[in-house]
Amino acid sequence: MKHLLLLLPAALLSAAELRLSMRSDPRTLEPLAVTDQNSDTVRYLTTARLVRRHRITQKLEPELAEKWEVRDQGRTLVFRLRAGLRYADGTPADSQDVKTTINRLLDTVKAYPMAEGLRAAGIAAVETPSPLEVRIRTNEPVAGLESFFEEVPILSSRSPLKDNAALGPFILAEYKRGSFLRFQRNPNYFRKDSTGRPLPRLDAIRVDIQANPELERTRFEKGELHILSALDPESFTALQKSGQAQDAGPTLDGEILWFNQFPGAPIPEHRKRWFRSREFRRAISAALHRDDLVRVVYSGRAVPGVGPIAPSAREWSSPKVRAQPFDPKETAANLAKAGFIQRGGQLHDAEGNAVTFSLLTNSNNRQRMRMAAMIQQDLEKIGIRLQVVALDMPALLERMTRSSNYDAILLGMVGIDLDPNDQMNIWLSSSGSHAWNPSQKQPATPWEAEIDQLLKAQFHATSPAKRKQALHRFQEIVAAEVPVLYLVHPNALAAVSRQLTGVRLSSLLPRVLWNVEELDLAAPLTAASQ
Amino acid sequence: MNRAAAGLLIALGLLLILGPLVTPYTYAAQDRDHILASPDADHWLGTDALGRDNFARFLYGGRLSLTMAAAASLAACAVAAAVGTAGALPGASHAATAVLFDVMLSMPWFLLVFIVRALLPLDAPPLTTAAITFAVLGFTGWAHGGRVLRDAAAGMAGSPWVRQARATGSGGAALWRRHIIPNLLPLLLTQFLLLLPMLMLTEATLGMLGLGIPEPLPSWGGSLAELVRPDTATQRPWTLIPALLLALTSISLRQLAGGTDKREAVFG
Repeated sequence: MKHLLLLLPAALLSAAELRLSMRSDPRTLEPLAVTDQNSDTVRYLTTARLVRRHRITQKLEPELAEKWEVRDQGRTLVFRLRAGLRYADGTPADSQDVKTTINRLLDTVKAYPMAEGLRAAGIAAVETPSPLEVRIRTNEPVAGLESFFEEVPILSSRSPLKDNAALGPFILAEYKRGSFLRFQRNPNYFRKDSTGRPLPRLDAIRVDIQANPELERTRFEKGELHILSALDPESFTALQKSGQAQDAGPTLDGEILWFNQFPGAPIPEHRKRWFRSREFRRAISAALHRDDLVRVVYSGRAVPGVGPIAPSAREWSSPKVRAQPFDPKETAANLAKAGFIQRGGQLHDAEGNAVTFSLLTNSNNRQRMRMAAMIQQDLEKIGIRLQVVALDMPALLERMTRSSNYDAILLGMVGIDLDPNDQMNIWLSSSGSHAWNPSQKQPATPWEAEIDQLLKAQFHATSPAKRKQALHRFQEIVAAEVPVLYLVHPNALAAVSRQLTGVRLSSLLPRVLWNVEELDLAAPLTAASQ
Repeated sequence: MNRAAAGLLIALGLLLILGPLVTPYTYAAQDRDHILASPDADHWLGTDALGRDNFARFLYGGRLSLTMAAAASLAACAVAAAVGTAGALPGASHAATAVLFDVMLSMPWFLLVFIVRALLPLDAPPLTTAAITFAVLGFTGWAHGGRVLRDAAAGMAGSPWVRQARATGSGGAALWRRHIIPNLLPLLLTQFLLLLPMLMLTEATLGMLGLGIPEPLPSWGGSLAELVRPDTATQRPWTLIPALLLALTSISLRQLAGGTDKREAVFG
């Protein structure tokens, strides 16, 4: 071992290199085109935004903008930038870069998905009265417009490196597709710690592409990785003994089930009638043991599903809306009201059709497969025969988004942003992502029309109280109509090496890395683990 | 060795047939208050992650895996025999059958299983889905046996004892029916015994990917999915039993196949 240590370059031994892994390559390195979590991690490390959400207090805090102000009754947002901002290559960063970035983002040809909210806001003008001031004007008042900018990376309009000019804490130094990404410290990063020492503290970050979660865990246990940021409950339990597993509480994510209500779906008409029946959906919802799902599938590391706004989004979740408890009486009452009857242990509708349908889920998710088996047993008790169908993800997506050939789907919904505007694309009836009945020309039901109206109203609400009121009503409608059955909100589980300091694990993405500039390694990796 | 292999397979068969009479549990019943229980007097092999009795699931899963794999192997051998002997018939195009075998052996058939699974009606009962999955596996597995049978049949057709049969007046279909096909049967049995474990192992692979026999039906392959985690085997070693029995069954069948192969070689 001594010989090995002597052979290693001194720099390697002293450099504080954080090591973590991703399950697959980032889909894109273009900061404005990010749609997946891995690309978002790269973007988070290498870019900076005007504001940042403090992942513990859930409040927006200054980043490139040292302060901001809303004027003209919510029609103008003014950002005051920090002085002396520079990209990693030394190019200055100022209000012109902000303006160029916003204009690029709003490019209708490129139609960046992350710009949906900004486009809906109706940006009328972006003005730069000085290098340190940006004024953003909208046609109508927009509630929480500043929140839209917590994801927008400010790109350089003048650097020869173009979008690769890093303003975030790290620079992408090397990328070998399918193997690893290596980031180096940005010497021009603007943040300093309380003692005035420049951040980030780490010298480098290496992100290995590691598709196999079991191997990932083994490497963590051997000390080759410092962070496992997406632990499943079983791995969490196994790592708990080492004292390195951390639970940040419920995430914004939801495990959800919905029925196909698309009128053109190639499924029997009588099933469409069941799925369109509010009583049927409520009966199913009340027949499920959500507490068992939490206890059995998640080892207690989750909370029963409540609704589209998870309880962890403290500012917006409605205190009146609670998780649907297991309630056989409610199930029976709703089924009877909708004309369903039990005959010989089998449930039949009013026309005599036996109630049987399929539940699609993706085959490579063990938790989901277990939940499906539990739902199957819960529904069997009320006389419903459920066929669980596990498909590989592409086949499932084909049925979900193209052919609409399915009865019900069990999938997960990842909550990225605390602000409910992030979910507009799912809940507006006209949206293509309105899972149970997409792209409606007119709202198919009065309650969908009311949700449309409420979400648009809260979007333009000038007072937080009015916005909250609209969002609470929205959650109540979802709880009453149950177009989507929220099953559980899983906890954010991670494993963090004892070497790593400065960790403040959050249930919000990017969990461990949200304050990456404050992370440090107490001691470098040993030669044995290199 | 052959006796030991046969004995083990007979014992396993008896266990799978009679076992369900001694366990009060069904394979699907979930006892959510007793998940991942260790073996005890009630649950001889403990319970799984949903509180289902592992012993009951092992028995029903074994029945299903073995029966379906045997049926699929039988069907594959029938196709192999038909195509193989047809390819060796006088006047048959050797090149055409060779191309057919090459095509069948070169295609990424595993993808076919994915495609067929994706195209199946969603409300197909689990048993039907399982049967179709095995049927697809059987369809993809006949070509190797077919080539072996074709070569053997062609070899026999030109052998001294067949020439002698011809000299004594036997010819045409009668020659094939009386002399060649009966002599191919041991080879066919060998192919069956080789294909059977292969299909069982393929189903096990599908089960580990979550694409095997659908819930709530059990299969040995499905139970292997639990072993993907490195610590499962050390913390709950009894979960290794289906894997061990799958391996033993596979070894025994191959051992028997080797035995029939030797007999055939001595005979030939």
